[in-house]
Amino acid sequence: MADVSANGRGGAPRAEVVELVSVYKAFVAGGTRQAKLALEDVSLRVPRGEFWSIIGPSGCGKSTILNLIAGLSAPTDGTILYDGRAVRGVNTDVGYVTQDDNLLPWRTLQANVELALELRGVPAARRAERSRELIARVGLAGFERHYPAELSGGMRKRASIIRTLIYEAPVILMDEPFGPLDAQTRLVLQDDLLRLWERSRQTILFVTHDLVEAIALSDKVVVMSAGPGRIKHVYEVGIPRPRDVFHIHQAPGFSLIYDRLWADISGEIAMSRRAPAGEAVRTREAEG
Amino acid sequence: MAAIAHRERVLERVVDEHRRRRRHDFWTLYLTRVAVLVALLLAWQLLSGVLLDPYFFSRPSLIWHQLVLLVQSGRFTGNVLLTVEEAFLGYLLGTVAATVAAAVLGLLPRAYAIVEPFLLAVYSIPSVAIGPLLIVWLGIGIDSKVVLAAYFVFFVVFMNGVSGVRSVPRGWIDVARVMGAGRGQLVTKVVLRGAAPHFMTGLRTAVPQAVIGAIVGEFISSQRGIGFLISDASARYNTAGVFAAISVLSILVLVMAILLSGLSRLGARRAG
Repeated sequence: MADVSANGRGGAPRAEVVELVSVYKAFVAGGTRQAKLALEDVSLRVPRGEFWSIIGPSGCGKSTILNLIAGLSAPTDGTILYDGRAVRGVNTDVGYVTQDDNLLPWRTLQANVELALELRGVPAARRAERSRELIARVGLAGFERHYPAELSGGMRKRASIIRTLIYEAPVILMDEPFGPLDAQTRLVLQDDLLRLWERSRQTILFVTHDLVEAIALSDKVVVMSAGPGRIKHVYEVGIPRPRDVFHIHQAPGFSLIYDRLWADISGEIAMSRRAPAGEAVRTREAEG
Repeated sequence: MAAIAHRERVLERVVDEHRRRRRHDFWTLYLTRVAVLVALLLAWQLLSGVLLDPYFFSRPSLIWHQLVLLVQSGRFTGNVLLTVEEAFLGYLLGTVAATVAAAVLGLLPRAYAIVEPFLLAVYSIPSVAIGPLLIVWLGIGIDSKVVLAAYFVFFVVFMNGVSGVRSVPRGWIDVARVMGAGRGQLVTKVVLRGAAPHFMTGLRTAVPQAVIGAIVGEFISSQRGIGFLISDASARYNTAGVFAAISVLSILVLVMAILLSGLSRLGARRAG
């Protein structure tokens, strides 16, 4: 069960829906006017219908990857392919659950959930039907007319997830969606997300800094190194589905994959602590 | 059963207290305001003739007398309505122009960077300088006053609007774009709506600006309006008449501000 392959593409060849081909992304830092590499030679092939997590130290370019796939920014070099075509401009085939929930404060929960359908011109009756179903499924029934400011952090997160799922984009990008939540709420929302996903089976790219979360949710875990961001390893999580996130640590193979990931990640963290300024040094060490 | 009844009673008590406190706050606020006003008028009335020369500073009783005369002469309604009309039309013209300009320039930082110094240059023209020009261009009728009022209104709404548009979080816009929002949808459903609190500030501060614009226009050249009443009275050294017209003006601005805040509260409820 704990089949850990070191380099991703295990199993039979499948149609990749998202593909990064040696992507580089550089920024010019405003203060120093010097170019800084955020991503270096990042290549990734995500097959349709899989749940992938990306973990790595902060500043390793995890969010940058999501922005590139969403077409909100363009790579400095290399190509982003969506369904075999290069991404140019905003990619409206993806759903993006951002780190902040970004709910519009003047819209009620229901109106927020329906926003995407409204933008696409779906009639009100159909919108209400869809949103009510999703709202009920994540336990928010009764709060339809509440404004975001009147909802708890966990409720807002749920709202921001279902408003992304409602338009059934083939690919969902999630940027640390459960970051600021307390441990219990996190677990409940992870469970919610898995249930929703097991029905729809969209492709999900999930950025997190939580190892256990990555293992509990994903088919594959991508480990990145920082300064500049590179892909270090892609691990396969062999734990069978459906999974029980509340007892994921008891699942067969959990400790094996956890130890492997932790060994990998802890090295990264130690490295980024030891050499806060010397990026070149850090990179060389990470490669070794 | 008893426990539930008890719980109901506890909740009811809190709601009751809350309601009573709010009503209390409301009345103390307004009563205090009225008391302050009465105290000021009383002090003015009593000090006039003792500390203040009534020839220059008049007194509330004389001003009231002037107001009564003004109403009796039949000159009151027509002059007030004219100023209201000028201010209202100027307000409409100014806010519409400013909203469109703020939406467009707020979203196009490069265009804004180009026109910003020009806008500041126009903004720095003193109204007393631009007023005579407008009268040369548009005549001494209502048009020049409306445009002058609009000019006063425009910058207040525009400056607030632009900063509002720019303060709309990037994330709201990005999320809507990924969801498939077109340019128009982005502006109407996210940007303008998100900037609404800033626009509201502009709209509220612009109310007195519109009246000031109309008055300045009337001051420069006019035979009618509250501004004319003021300049006419001051030309005759009738200080009580000047104060009478000024008090009409203050009440006018107050009424407009109350109407606008009522309207915006209605709008906020509707939008929900």
